[in-house]
Amino acid sequence: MSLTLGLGAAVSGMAYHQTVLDVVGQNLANADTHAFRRSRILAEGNPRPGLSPEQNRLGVAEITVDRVFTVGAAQLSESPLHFAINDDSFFRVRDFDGTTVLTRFGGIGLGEGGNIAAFGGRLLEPPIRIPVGQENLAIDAEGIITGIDANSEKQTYGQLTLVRVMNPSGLEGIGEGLYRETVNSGAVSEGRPGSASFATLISGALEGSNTDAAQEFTQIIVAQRAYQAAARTFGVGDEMLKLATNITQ
Amino acid sequence: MIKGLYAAFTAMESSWRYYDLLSNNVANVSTPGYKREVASNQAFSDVLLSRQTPVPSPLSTRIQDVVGQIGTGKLLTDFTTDFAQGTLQTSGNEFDLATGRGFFAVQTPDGNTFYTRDGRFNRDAEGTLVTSHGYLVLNAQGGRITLPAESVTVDADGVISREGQAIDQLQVRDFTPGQLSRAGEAFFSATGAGVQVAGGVRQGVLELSNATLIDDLTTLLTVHRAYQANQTVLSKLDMTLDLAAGQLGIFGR
Repeated sequence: MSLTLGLGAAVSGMAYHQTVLDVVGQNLANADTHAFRRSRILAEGNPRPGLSPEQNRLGVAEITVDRVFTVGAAQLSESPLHFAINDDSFFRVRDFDGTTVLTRFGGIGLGEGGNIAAFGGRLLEPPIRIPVGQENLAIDAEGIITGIDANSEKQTYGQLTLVRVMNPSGLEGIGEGLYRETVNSGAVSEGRPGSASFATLISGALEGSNTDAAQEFTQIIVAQRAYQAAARTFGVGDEMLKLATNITQ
Repeated sequence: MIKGLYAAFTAMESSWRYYDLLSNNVANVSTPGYKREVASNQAFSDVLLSRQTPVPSPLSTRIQDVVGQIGTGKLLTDFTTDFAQGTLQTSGNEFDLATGRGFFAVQTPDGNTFYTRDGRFNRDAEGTLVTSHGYLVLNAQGGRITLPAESVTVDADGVISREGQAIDQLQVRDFTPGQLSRAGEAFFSATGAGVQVAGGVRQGVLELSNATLIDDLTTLLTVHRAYQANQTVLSKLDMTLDLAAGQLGIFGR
């Protein structure tokens, strides 16, 4: 019997449910951010064989926060050059520091030097260049970017390449919907939208956030009540210790 | 007098151990795959009587009879795991798996195999199916499971397939209750290999904890009050002893 084992377990429960609220706050704040991927926080046990039951009652052992890469709902966009990726893949852009990063946010447009640029003016990788004076730029379901040239003829300028990583949760989120590959994200496979194992794009649309407000609010309720319960448990333990010290007055 | 003290003390001690258990249940109310612990009380007097050998002296025999009747001490003898299914939560994630029967088998880097209902799996960088700790998820033959990068489906028997082609099958083992022992919040060690079960696996669903705040907090109140009551008894006995040992027979009052 340890004096403070139960108190420690109660505190770990409080700490965990406090962290839940932090993550929920981040998810809800981005409920309207295009292509935002929500995070999921879960308590996790640790395998500890061969210990007595008492030694195993330590409360919440670990907290894991994973980014969830389920596809968000597509929302119609005003630009025919916008697109939403309809599976778990990404496309590559060149970040300002010259490195290649991944994103899912299909809000592309005409950028610097006539190149197609993604969010914030980052150029596609590999780049797709549009000659001067082209109009009615659009992207189709296969990722082919077309336009009308000065002679009113339809021109094709290039096709978007999608990439898929082995373990998306291993990607490092660097903000603005950009992800950097790490040793944990694993092998990368490339393909054209609509080719084998890559879904077609939804053109003229943008992917919404995959935050589900109802789910997040449910989490708030659960976290709040569970926090309360853990705090109450702590209070009872404190009371019991007080009783123990008051056996002899 | 001394028997009463001891009875009250053991009751307090067992209340405190029960409190530890409840506190752990409450803390893990959101831990996927957590199986709550329950305790059963046993009157301490029964244990005492069954362990003591009869004493021939008439006086001792009389005292022993009294113990059998008034023994209010108690002992938490039995911690058991409630294996009831936890709440199922639909997540839609490809590798959130729940099973209504049996346990998934995972292997830690030191080669130990554990069984769990915590079905949060994922591919690692090499496409191996691992838990969020990075432990291997075992297939029916006890080996690792290697997956393509593209999405796969998992059927009720734990067979993983891609476009109708079976890739591998998850190990889902069931055990008789006595074969499993707790080895951490959501993990169990087993004696014996168990039997592969079919028909309970669900994809995109996560089994949460089976601890419920209502049950555990209600029990907590009972435990708290029992502790308090026994503390009062101890205090009163202490006062009585004080009178007997300290006040009785003082001359000159």
